[in-house]
Amino acid sequence: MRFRSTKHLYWYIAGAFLIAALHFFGVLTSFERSVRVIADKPITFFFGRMQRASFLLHEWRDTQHAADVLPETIRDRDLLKTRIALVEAENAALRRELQYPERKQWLTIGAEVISKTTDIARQVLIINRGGDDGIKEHQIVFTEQGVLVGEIISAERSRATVRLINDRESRVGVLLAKNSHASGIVEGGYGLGLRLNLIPPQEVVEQGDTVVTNDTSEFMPRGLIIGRAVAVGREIYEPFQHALIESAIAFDEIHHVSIILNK
Amino acid sequence: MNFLRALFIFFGGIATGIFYVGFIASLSFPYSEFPLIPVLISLAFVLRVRPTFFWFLLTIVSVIDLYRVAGFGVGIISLGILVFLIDRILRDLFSHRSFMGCVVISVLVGIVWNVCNEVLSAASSLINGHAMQIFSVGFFWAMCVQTILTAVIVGVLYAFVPRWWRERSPTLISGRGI
Repeated sequence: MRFRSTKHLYWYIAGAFLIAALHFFGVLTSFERSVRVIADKPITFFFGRMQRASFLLHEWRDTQHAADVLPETIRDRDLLKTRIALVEAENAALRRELQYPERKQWLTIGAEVISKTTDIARQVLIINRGGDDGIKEHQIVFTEQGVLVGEIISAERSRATVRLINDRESRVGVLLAKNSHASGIVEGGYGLGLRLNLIPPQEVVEQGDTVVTNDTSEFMPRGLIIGRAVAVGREIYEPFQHALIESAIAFDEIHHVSIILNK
Repeated sequence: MNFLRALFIFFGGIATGIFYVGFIASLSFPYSEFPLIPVLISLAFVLRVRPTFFWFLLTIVSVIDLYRVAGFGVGIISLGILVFLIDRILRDLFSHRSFMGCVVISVLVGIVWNVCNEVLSAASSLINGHAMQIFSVGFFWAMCVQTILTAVIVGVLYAFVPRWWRERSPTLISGRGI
């Protein structure tokens, strides 16, 4: 900008500061409201259209990507299904050979989450199933994807309270999915995360290892997913290792759960 | 004529502000960081346009300020500080005609604009009782993207419109004619 003189420049700067000051003292409120009345509709229009365009673009890209990888995914799925069928057949044959008792199927019931806590000291959900539906204390709650959610801590007639695994009082014995070795206890920490403690010193836990439940307790089944190790550490003065676990689900976004009535 | 010019500045500024808030700011990163205001300010300095352009810029930043979470005044005060600082620096140091002079002016404008915005946004948040992290990594990248884009855009304009540029730009290296 070509200001004629320093004095001229000062006048412009003073004008700018004057406008900010007039706003600060509320003199411009009605004027600003008028400008917003003019500006709100076109901005909302632009913003909505842009968001819609962005959504459609992402959807199109996802569809393209899905179309590209679909044949490969179908082939992998068929391969896995074949392997699972073979392993199941072999497993059934071996069980018959060993006269091993048949494994019972879990008896489960679905429930809807009707309330969540906002208290950082307690991480609980309330579900719309209770004693009338066979819900009892210590029963295990999981999501449809086989991810552990928590444990029933109290049950009324038509509703029950679930303590999430990221609650500070939650303790769950776990295994490493890669080798089925018992690898410690997962504890919650005020809803901020999960920590795997008491990992035996000889156990090799690496970043990305999946952690699943151990069936050492009466109600807990084996193999419910808890999460993945994201950081592993051991202090020289500690006899055990510890790891931070990234949960497999977002606890804020749980709407439907299943409860294991009978393991 | 002056009244028509004032109307044009006012409604043009509002329309540009609406365009910025509704269109550019709603794009995904890094497109949302398109430095419209730093580019306009840099061009205003490089081309030595009329001071009336200052009020056009002021109207744009006022409209943007109305939609800022941090509060009104951040853009206006940033503009004031920037115009004062850059005008002081430009008078004595840089040529408006050389490519490097244009790039340096754009980089200066980009950095000063972003730093002023960040500091004033943090101060405004503090006054309004909110905590705000000052100089976060996200801000640093946004500042880099904006500064580089500003310099590139002004540099490209310099390369593609040389005749018009030379007619508008001053012929002497310093404002005092040395």
